[in-house]
Amino acid sequence: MKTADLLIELGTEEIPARMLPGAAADLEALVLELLDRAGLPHGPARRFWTPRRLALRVDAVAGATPARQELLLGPPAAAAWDAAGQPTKALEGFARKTGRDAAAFARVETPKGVYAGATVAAGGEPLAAVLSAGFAPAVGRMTFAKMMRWGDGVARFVRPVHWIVALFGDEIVPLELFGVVSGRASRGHRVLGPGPFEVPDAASWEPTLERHGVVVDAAARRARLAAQLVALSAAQGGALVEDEGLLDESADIVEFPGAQVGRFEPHFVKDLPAEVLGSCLKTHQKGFCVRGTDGLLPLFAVAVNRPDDPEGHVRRGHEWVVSGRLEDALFFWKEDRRQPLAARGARLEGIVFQRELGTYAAKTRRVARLAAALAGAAGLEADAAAAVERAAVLSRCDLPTGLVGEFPELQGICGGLLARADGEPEEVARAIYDLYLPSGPDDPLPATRAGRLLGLADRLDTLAGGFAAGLAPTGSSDPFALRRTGMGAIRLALSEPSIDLAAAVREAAAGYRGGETGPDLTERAGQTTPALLGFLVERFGVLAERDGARYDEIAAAAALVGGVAGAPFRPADLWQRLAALRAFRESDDFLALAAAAKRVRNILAQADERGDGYAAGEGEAALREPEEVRLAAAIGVAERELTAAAAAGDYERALAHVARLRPDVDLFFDRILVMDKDPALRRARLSLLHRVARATHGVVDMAELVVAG
Amino acid sequence: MQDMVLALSRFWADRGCVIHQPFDKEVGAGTMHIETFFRSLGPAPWRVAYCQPSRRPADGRYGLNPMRVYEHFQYQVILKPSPADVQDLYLASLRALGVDPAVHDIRFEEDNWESPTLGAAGVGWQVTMDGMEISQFTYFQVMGGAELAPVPVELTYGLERICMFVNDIRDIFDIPWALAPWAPEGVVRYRALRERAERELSAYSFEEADVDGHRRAFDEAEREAQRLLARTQAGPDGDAAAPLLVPAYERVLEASHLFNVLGARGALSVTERQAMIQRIRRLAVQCAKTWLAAGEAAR
Repeated sequence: MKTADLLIELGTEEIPARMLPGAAADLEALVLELLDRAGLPHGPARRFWTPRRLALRVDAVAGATPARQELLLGPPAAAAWDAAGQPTKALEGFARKTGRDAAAFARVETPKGVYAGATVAAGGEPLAAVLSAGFAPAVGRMTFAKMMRWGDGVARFVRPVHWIVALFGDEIVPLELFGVVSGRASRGHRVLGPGPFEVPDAASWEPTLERHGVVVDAAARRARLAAQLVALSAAQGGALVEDEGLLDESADIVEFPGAQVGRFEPHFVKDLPAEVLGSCLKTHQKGFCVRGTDGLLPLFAVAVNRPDDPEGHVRRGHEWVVSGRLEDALFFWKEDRRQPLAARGARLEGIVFQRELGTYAAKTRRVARLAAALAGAAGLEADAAAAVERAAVLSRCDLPTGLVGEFPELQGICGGLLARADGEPEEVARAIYDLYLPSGPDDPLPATRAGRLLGLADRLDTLAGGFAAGLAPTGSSDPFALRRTGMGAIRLALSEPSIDLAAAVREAAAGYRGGETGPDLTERAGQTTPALLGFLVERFGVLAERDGARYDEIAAAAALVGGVAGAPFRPADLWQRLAALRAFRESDDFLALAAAAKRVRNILAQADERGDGYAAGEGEAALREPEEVRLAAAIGVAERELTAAAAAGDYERALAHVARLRPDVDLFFDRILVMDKDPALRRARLSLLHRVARATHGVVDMAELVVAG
Repeated sequence: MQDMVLALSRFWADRGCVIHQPFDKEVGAGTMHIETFFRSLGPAPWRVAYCQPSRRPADGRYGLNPMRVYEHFQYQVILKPSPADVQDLYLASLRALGVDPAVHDIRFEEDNWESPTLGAAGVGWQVTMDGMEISQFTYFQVMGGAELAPVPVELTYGLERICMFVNDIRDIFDIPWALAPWAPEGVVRYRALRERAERELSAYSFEEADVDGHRRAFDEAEREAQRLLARTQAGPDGDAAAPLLVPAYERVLEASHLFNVLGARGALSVTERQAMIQRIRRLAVQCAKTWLAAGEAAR
């Protein structure tokens, strides 16, 4: 049977760059699903996109579904043949209707009874038929972040569709979508090769488009664009400041990967902070910065949708716009500096942080109070603690500035720059500058301790308020982005070993007391504290899992925090315990002891159910067998060593001492029956096991570990 | 500048557009013109083009900024239903303006338009030429809260931008509006026509506008629009007892402009702003409903 490559190209008006990769992936998945459901064998698929097209090519697709035998069932046997075995009118009618001879039918046993049946050839459904019937409904299932209607207003898609190329080898596959009928006519770059032109076959589609100025392979387009941006910057004596996100976007707003480097007045490099300059170029012009040996050069690089600039308009246009934008940014930067940052605090009374949680002024007051408490808990000197509090007071004062209004992504950074210009201490300025770090998993932490404590206070306040206001994340939604906020809080707390998040969360909730955000919230903030703590422990687990920890290891560590009223949660400490566990886990003694810990836990749980009393160290005088006496002695040693090692923060050594209990625990379980008839002896043995349980719970809860076999 | 207006008018007249005049009310954009707002609604086809002076009080810079002004001139085209070749038509219209797309980098970048006061939203692009925004290109989806089918497409040309770029002019006030042999330079520039108004209107909207008076006028315009929309009493000449839609809509536009001045004056808090936007939108939605109910759209 014939196989050939299948090519489908949807030609559209310009689709937004942010939607392109997902749309091409969806289209590919839908077409493959169509082929697979019909049982059409095919090879691998590749997808393509530019602003004006979504396409896919599937290698070696079968031209028709494979032939197979199928059973055609007619009337029941009793009605199909008369007593003489001759076909009745019923069978003859059925045979005629299905285009066969009555003689082709025979008796067939089915679960429902005996019927007249015939074996017929099926399959062989052509690819063209499958696609003609299925393509439009499949595309109709594609969804986009923003869809539109056009023309008569009936069809809905991301943008109007203007042409469809659908080729099976060199044959046209007849498709129709939104009133557009497929063919072999495509269109190229609006200037370099508009067309329409004909594509001879599926295999020559990509090179044909290239000849008409369109690079359809997104990865190739990106690579070519990157190479050009780098080369052009180098030709001007600079180095491109790379920005992967901007490069992704730039490659998807052009069909042909061209680039230009433009200049602006050198004084902007001196007069504007590099951060502001960079944001201005990126936000307004999708421009890359160009670096020299010391600092930025008065140059920018941009993607353009053509290889050349025949009359110099392209570069000149960009230069003009860039200089206007830089002029604007400089205006804001100068204006914003006419008033000290601190003087803008009053404006925060009018800026809502979150409807339920009041204004930024209220948030600032809460964060300043919490930051001071955290600085105290972290043992900062009075001066350093005062700097944290000062940074907190100023932390949001950049929100009403013109610069942040123009470049929201400069929040924090802008405040830091203005604080420095105001002559605030460097620690204060730097802490504000870093306020939004980390916002993504790969972001660095704030550079200073003051910055980390401020960041933690800011996030804990958001979390406490968010939970109190009923904005806690659920399975499917996280309207307030609290998961990310929680992850940031954990990463910040990890850098500050003395911080107890359990206490800090209670402190954060207390910040909502005092009625500024309403009495309901005050009360609820206290009630939701346990849920918030649980959420943070879970975030800790997510971070540990990303670091490669296994789920049972995480559970063993988390068991020290979760469900224990008043237990502290020091992420840094817990992280060390987990690291020790991961280092130590694979030793034989350790795994065996983990199994024993589980057994101990079960025995004690059963004892609890029955009401058998016990308490560590109680009635040990009653112990009489050598194995239990030895275990009691070994426990004594282990407890001392464990306490000393744990106090020194050496959890590996602590675990090593616990692991040494293994032979004595094994012997105990081999020889001793815990549930003796003598209640005093039973109590003594349970009490001894309670000490074992405590020891195996000393660093992490070993009973949570999953032990093979 | 006037040659551009003439060229665009000729171009779109040749493609079946009614060449209309600007609406004689203060508006922030050509979309608020009565021949765009109402004609977008309902099933009747429509094609219109006009140049609309558009006032944005907060953008005023006392005539000192070479790019930003209180009032600028939008050339606006509505094609309903949107024709399949509208992008090609647009590019051809640039050629009519003397811009050759073959030597520029012209791109359609996502920019979805929304007018909270008109209860309107559309999907489309800002068109950039060599990195500079020169047009808004919008497929209207909703107007006055009503879903639109057929879908009108709106093309809006920033005339000053295009003129400055094509002629390499750096200051908007240097734009030659018309050749004039009788004038000292042989030319009348944007400056002569606009500078004084820019200076005074900026001073007015940032410093002088009577805040209380504007608030009262806003309330009054709203009340009047509501009254006209609710009208059930027949007039003395025995006309049908029906809402007076056009004067009602004019009051809505007045309210919208008063709101913009109050905003520029720095007189509105965030919540007050939101509340006023909603009040204007309610009226705009009511206007659209009334138009559709009267079947005017099918006329």
